[in-house]
Amino acid sequence: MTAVECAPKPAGARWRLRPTLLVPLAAVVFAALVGLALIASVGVKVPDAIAAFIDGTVGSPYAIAASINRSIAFSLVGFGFVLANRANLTNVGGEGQIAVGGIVATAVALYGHVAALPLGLAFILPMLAAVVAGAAWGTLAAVMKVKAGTNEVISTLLLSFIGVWLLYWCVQSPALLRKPMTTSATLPESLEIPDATKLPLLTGDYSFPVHIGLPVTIAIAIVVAVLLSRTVFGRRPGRACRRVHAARRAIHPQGRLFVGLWLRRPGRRAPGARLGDRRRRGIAAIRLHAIGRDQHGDGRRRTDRAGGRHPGPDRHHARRRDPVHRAMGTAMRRGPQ
Amino acid sequence: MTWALFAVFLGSSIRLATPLLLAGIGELVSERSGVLNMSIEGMMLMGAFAAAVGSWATGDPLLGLLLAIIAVQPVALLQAVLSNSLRANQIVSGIGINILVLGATTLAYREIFGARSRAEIPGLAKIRPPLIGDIAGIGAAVFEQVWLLYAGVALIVITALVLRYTSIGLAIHAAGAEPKAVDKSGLSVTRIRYGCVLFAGFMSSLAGAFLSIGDIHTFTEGMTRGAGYLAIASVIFGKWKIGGTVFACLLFGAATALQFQLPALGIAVPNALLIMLPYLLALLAVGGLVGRQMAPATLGEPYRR
Repeated sequence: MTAVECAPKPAGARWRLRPTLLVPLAAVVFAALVGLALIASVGVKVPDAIAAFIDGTVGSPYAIAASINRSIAFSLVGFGFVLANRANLTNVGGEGQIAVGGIVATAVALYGHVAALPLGLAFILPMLAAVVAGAAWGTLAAVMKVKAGTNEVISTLLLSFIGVWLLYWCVQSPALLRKPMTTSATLPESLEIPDATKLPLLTGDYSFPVHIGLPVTIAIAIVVAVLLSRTVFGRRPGRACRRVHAARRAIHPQGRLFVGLWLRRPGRRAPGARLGDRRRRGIAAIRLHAIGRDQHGDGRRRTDRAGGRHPGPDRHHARRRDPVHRAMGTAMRRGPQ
Repeated sequence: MTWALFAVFLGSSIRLATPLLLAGIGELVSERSGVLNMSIEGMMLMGAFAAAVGSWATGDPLLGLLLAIIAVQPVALLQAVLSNSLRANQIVSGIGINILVLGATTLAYREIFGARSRAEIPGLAKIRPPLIGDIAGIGAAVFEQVWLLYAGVALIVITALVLRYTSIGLAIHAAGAEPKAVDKSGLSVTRIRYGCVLFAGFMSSLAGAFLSIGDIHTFTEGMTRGAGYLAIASVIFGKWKIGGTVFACLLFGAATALQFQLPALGIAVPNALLIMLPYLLALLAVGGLVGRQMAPATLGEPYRR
């Protein structure tokens, strides 16, 4: 178990909900007001603008579907951002990753001979190809981060520009994706992809064209939410956690495993501990386990001088000498915050 | 490539590198003080727009330049408040500002210029410095440039000297490397960082003005096209040092100049590839040549007493 990220939930998690909801809400309202002010400043009647805005976003089934479809793209990029952000990485290259995914999806749909495939493979294959391409584009930044220590903000930004210009290149060059030029006025765009390769509509009705991306996005949202809230990966490193990281360097394989598990489920009753509140359970469990941990990393449990398993009278002394206890010190005494 | 063509290439490289240079040095100072200023792009765009409007409305490019400097300061102040006082995420707030400026200038451009978008805007004058400008063959092509370029070079030299030899420079470096020590010595980290962000705004406004009224004498929507990000990349490429940053900017300028030079030489390269080239170069540079521990220690972290 390599616990990369961890942070016990704060005790007062309830009140923290408020700013997390209020701030985005306030931001939206503020942005809307600024937008209206701008509209008013160029001499358009504000009620007219609001009416047009409502009409364009939720005014008709078609508009609603278009809004949903558009927000699907935003959400998907957003999920990616949040996941990377949990690992303290800032991915600002969504634009380029979208462009590269789009190029590959179009290429596969047009020239990959997928249109006749059964079982929905006609649209699933281009989609998967796009996922692989976008992920590979993101991986470039990751490799640079790991191998050369490149700041991911700047590398994803630059990759964004490169990706977008790749897209332009693809639609400008007849040798790539540009549709055959019949006249000089032929737009720089690809051919239309075959119908079978388009994402199927949920309703099958073109007056409400929400496509299959919606359930896919919801499924991904659930997976991401579980990843973030229920796994070690999703926990943000807090202050206590950083000390534990320091502590973990000092302890041995089994101890590490246990710390990983403990940090993962701070609320769970730790094995062997029967103390009062939640917090103390965690601490006690750590102590118990640390005492009985595999000190030599060879699978043998630690024994006292007498060779018995049970720590004898020098138990307290042993504990003080114990690097785990020294390192964890105050962090553990405080317990999960 | 003949000498004449090479001289033209050299001249246009320097010309195209100038906005990067000006903005890059501003960014360098800001990053040295600990603020990763991602809104360079927006500041440049605002500068370009204000310079174009001022120059077009008054007929005097100098007034346009002045307006650019004035108009960018609120943007820089916004970035400074967000990243220092409110301690917002500097990257996100910077990119947010870029989007805001892009939208605002596009809207205002369409409102102000509208159908007159082809209007010629009076630009800054070109000068040819006396000695080097008279070198036979290449003097005119390389050194006959807008005066703002030479003023920018002077500014960069002054900035380098201030950073290197004065207590202000020391304080700026320290604010990025060890803000606690600065605080303990009685200086205000916040004030230093505010100053540096505003300075970055000032340099970016010059860079933007150079683009619109120095170089192409018009404004187009989103005309900076990522030049601000290139400036940031050049700071990283230059390892947060003035000399390195200048070299990186010149390199990116040369890569941009190739766009115009290669077709002139009859070499057919896809246009998109040429436009991509500076970014590609920046990516390789940033990825391959810069070590890990170069950045100012607290870059991007708001200071909390």
